[in-house]
Amino acid sequence: MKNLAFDNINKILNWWNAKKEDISTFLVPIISIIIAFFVAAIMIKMTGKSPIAAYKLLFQGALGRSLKEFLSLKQAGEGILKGAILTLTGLSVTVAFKAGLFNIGAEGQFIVGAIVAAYFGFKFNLPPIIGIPLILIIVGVTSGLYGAFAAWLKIKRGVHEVITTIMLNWIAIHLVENWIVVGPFNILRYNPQAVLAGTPYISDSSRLKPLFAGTRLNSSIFIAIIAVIVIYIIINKTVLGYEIKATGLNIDAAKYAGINTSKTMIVSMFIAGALSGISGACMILGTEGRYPGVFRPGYGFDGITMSLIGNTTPVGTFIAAIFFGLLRAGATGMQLIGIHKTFADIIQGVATIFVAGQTGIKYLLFLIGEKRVVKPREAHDGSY
Amino acid sequence: MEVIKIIISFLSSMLQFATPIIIAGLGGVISENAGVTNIALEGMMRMGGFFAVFGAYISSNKIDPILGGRDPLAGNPWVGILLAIIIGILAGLLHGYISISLKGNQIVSAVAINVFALGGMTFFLERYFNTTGHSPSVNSFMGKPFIPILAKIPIVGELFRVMNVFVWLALILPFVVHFYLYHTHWGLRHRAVGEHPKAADTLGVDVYKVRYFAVIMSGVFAALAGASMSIGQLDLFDNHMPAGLGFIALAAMIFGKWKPLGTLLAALFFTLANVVQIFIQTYAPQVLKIIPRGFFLALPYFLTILILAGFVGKATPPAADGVPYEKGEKL
Repeated sequence: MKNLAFDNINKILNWWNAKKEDISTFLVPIISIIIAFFVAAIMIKMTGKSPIAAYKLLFQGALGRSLKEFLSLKQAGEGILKGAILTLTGLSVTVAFKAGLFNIGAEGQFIVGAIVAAYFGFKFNLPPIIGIPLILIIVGVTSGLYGAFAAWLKIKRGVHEVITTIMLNWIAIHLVENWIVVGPFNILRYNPQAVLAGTPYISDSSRLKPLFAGTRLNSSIFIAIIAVIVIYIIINKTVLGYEIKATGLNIDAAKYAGINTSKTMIVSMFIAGALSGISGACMILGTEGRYPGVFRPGYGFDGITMSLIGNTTPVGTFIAAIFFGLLRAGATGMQLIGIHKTFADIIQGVATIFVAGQTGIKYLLFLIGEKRVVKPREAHDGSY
Repeated sequence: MEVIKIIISFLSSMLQFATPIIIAGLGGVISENAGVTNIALEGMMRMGGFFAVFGAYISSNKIDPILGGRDPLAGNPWVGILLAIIIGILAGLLHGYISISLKGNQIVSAVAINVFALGGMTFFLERYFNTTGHSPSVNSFMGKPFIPILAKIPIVGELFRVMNVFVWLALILPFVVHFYLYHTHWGLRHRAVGEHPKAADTLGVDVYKVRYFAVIMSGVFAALAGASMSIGQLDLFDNHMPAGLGFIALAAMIFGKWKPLGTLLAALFFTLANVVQIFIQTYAPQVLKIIPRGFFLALPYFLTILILAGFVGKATPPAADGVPYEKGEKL
């Protein structure tokens, strides 16, 4: 009897030892998020409020107060909408990551996409079925080129993409905010009586309309889902995807195998830029309706954390993005007891810190079987 | 006379604007010369900025006669500096633990710190000051010359009047760091760890210790830079702080080719673009019709890309910058 029990424990341990590498990859983000909620609960407790009450409000704010309200998507719609925008910027980072590139530039590409969408949304007055895809294509190409520029600089001049993309972010922000939006494309040029800062409103036919009454959720979510599927297929089922992954895992081996790594890097950064740009376009065509005077939603920077928490896979990114989209929408509900909605950033930040230090979590997980030193297995080691 | 006044006010705005960029940039120099990248300067500045104000606030033990509660103007700004340093040490320690001990991805860790700082400081602002805009005014170094005697000199005194403790720090620290890195044996070890950690290890340098020291100092510098904004340039913490200055500091560090004196000059040069823009706005607004503001603001970043791409000189980071070091690893 005793032996049988031991046998079973041994079986489980053996199974764990064989699988722990894969399983821990899934467990790390989940454990990180759970730890983040605990850390955040301690912070709420510090302020003298009840974490349980706060999390209840968060949950209700994210999904709705009842099953009926949840199904009507009145509450959840807002979170899913945010999740769709985050999915696109997250995918952008994921695609670049697969090619071994760190796309910190999602924010700049997002802004380029947003301003281009605002311009063509204003200029075009075509039937939505033609106009909107056309705008998205133009946005994709412009932002894609903006992203590919960083890859080009890396290949031709050996400049690390982390630095160039950071610089390109701020170039985009300053040129758009302090030149285009206040100068050549200002609303006052078209409507001298306007009181709002920003660009003129896009035409009605260019707008992504809400799917149901009482919610702002629009077809951005379909664009996001299509993007997830397309990127999943590209990465896992095509030659291009194979080349991207080979380049990301070991660029020298990829070159040796005859892969044109320069082309692969440029293509993956082009796709990355296009995705971030489309994300910005969804925001302008959907909820904003124009490029506002002050527009720093930070979804590009958040894309980085979505990708990392999603284990840099398309589906993982999608799940992480929807989760954090709901979390952000829900955090608005916590303002009822005086917790600011940027509270979601705390959870996101803490979770990412633990994902960054995942060797620590993995080490603890691996202790459950045998003792073993964990080495980082990432293609990108964090160097410039 | 009028011209001299304009020049003096031009120089004093330049010094004020450059201060946080110089101090934070030096933080980057220290960390990256030991081989740990730090794009978390922005987040660390934000933490330092908030906790400097918080320190100046909690050190007040007077009761506000009208509103009740603490009188924010009765505190001691030096406590603010102290608290900023402590938070800088903690932030540096966190980044160091992930980058050095856990050998995690340094960029991921830095991004996480930036995200956390964004939400965390808003949270604290709301917790302690019941607002998400800006904190109340506290007792600060704003408009307090560090050497008041110099401020009494006619004409030039105007320049010394804006030079509070942070401005002096920004002017002195680059030389201190330069001396440390290039003229002491600790500095030699420090750079060796960033260039070739294996060789340094073989010669008995404790790579981890040097890297921890570097990252912690970088956190302290960044936090001081944040404090120089909140209790130096202003007397309050605004929720938008530091509004991208951490990234300008990063650009200045690169433009200065990872060297302390280079960073000082780069920071001054970058500020020049900004101050010129402000002066044009005041004295010759019609120029902005031809060259928009955005161009001046984007210029530093654009130049950084040019210099990195080798179109204007060449900047190369330390060889082992960003590469985690594993002790006892075979070559």
